[in-house]
Order: sequence, then C-alpha cells, then structure tokens
Amino acid sequence: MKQAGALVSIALDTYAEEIAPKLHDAKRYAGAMVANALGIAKRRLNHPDPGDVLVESLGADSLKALAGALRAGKISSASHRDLADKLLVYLEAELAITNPKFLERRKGQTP
Amino acid sequence: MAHATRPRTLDPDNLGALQDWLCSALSADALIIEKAELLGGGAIGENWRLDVKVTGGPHEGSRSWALRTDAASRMAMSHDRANEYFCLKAAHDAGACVPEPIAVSRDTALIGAPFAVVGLLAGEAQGRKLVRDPLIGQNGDALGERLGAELAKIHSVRPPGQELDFLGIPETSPALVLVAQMRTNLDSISEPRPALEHILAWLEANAPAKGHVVLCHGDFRTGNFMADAGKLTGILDWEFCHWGDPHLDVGWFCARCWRFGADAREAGGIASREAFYRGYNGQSDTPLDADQIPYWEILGAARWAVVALLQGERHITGGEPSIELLLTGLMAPEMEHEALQGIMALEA
Repeated sequence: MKQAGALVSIALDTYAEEIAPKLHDAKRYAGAMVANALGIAKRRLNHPDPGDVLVESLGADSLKALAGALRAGKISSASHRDLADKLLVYLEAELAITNPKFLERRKGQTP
Repeated sequence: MAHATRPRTLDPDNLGALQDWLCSALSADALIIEKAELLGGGAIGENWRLDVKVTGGPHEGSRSWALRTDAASRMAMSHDRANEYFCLKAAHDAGACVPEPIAVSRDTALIGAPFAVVGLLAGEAQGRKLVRDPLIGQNGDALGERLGAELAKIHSVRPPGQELDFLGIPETSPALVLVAQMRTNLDSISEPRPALEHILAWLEANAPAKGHVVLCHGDFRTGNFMADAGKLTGILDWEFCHWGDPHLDVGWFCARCWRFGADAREAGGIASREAFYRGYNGQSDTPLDADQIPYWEILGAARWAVVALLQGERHITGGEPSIELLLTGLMAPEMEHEALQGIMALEA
C-alpha cells in the first residue's frame, strides 16, 4: 500500500508538472479526468475506508449486510436514532476522497 | 476515452440505404444526403448532423437534421431511439417546443441500429455554459417561465396514447414504482450502497399517493434543452420518458445537482422557482402542489445517484472501459449527500 501510494502520488505530480501544461485543447478534458482519477486514488490510499468505519459504528458484519438490513427495515431511524447522522458522516468521509471541493462548496449552505 | 473506441453506427461514405429509405419515408421525389457529421453527445446516445437536399414532398428544400441512434451500449432504463422518437412526437403534437419529428426506423438492417431523424436546433445545451451566459443571468426568469409553460404542455399528454403503448401505466403511486426500479438497479451494482438504501426506505415510507398521471420527460433539466441568445429553441433527450407524477419533472429541474453551481437560481440554475412555477401553472389545467416538490427533489437526487452508479458499472462490469463512465459512478456520494440532507431538513 505504501508503495502504491508513493507511485500514485509521483504519477500525479509528474502529470501535473510535465504533461498537463503541454496538452492541446482537444485533450484537456481527458487530461483533467486523468488528474481527477489519480487524485481520488491517492486520497483513497491515504484515508481509512469510510465503509469499514460505518459498519463498525452500526454493529453490522459488512457493508453488504448493512445495506441488506437497511432495505429489510431491520436497521432504521426507529432502531438507530442517530442513523442519518452516521450515514452523513460516512458520505462526507467518502466525499473527502472522491470530491473534497463538493464539501467545501456546501459549507454554510442550507440543504 | 470511450468515445474514441466505440464503433460508429453510421458510415459517412456509405449512406445509400439511408438515403433511399428517407426518400421513400418522406414521400420525396429525390433526396441526397450532402453531408453526415458526428456531433458531440452524451455517454448514452450518438448524434449525427445530416445536411440533406430534398426534392418534392412535404420536406422539399435544403434541410439540416439530426440523426440519433443508439450507441454501442445503453442503460436498460432508457428507451431506444425509436421509442424516444414517439415520446418526442407526442410532445410535439401537444404543442411543446421540441425538435421537429421527421422520421423513425426500427429496421436494424439500414444502419445497424434503430434511429430517429429530427430537426436540428440552433443554440447551446451545455448546462455549465448556460448558467454562466450573461443574457440568461440578466433575464433568466423569462427563460424559466417559458420552460415551466413548456413542461406543462408536455404534461398535457395523458395516457393512453396510441403510439406510446410501450410505456407502462403505473397502477400504484409513481414514486413507489420508481423506488422499486431503483432497488432493482441497485441490485446490479457491484458495491453495496447503505446511504441509498436508507434514502429509498424513506422515499418508500413517504411516497405521495397516486395522483393524475402524465407524460413525464424524465430528464427535464438544464443541459437537456437548447437556448439561443437566452431564448429556448427546443427540449432534448426524451429517452427517459414515462407515464408518471408531474412533480417528478419539476423536482428534477429544481434539484441542486442540476444547477451547475448557480445555486441561488433554484430552478435549474437559470431562474427563480417562482418564475418556473408561474410558467407551469399559467399553462397547466392542474396547478403544482408546491408542498410535494421537496420530496421529488430528494427522489431526483437518489435517481441521479442510481444513474451515475449504473454508468460507472458500464466500466466496472459492462465491458466498456471508460474513465468518464467510471468517474461518473464516483459522483454518486454527492447526490446521496444531497438527498440525505434533504431528508434531514424535512424531518427536523
């Protein structure tokens, strides 16, 4: 994992410094997607798995079991008063990996 | 990336069969396709511009049309181009501002896939550009009001429709039908989605009863209409059309995820809600129930999350490698977050 993190990190830096500035217009969108994908991978490697944290906080066996229990109504806001809060924490941990700017924009906005 | 490797359905150097068919279908004496050019399009469809010279018949003259055909793969929940055409035609017949329906064929022998030919519209459709257009910035309420009125015209189409018999009429609450569909869709996704399961359980528990059922566009939002100099030129992309609750399209249009960052203009990032609702209610025989719309915005966010996941799945298990599709799938937590916050605000 440590090696994977280092590889993704240096690939991202090299891309940003040496390749992205030389892309012509037609390839800038693809280039932006590559940088975005590498950024997500880098953050994924450096963050604890938000799913593991959620599973533990709700006492489930796995994310799949948790999703099944939610669909079956075995876990609900009635049985877990703070369910929505915990799911929000989980989603915000996911967003800190997939799109940190999304959370920055949301700060201070009403739902 | 995916677009570079996807096989094209139309060969610009081999248009004879399409030309002959169009000539016959349009009752023309002669028809020549002078140019066929691939246009940019979404991840689902493939669009071609056809410059055509028609002699005789109702379409006589030099015409520019758009030929829409299915891409190499499409989502199961979207119509093929032929069915999409009949939805557009029903809206056109109801007086809505849509591309002119020209011709449709389900014959896969002609170009390899069903296709539809419609009028080509002028203007810009990209949401990010439209919400930043200074003309719309100054007078977005006029465009929003017009869009509200156009949506009401689409919703004036009611079941049954002879050419729309492929659309199932919901027997129960349309919201419950959509929740069931989304659960089925989720079952085809590789990764479990606990937040979406919670959101769907809430949507199920709070579903509005079945009211009047109308022709819903199904993807009525900024990005799916064309505007030129700040004025509407036509409503596009009819592949998610269905019989449903009219508030679905209203909630979808107003959902934050379709404002492209222009959050203060709550109707599609271009207008106030008041202007959009005013346009709708001025045209419709059934006024909107504003109290229902927050529910449909939450449903809209959940639906977009599911669609994003399905797009990502096309890369993960669908045999269609594409960085764009994969990144689209990773947008799902944004919509889950919107929906969950919406629920928490209503429950507070």
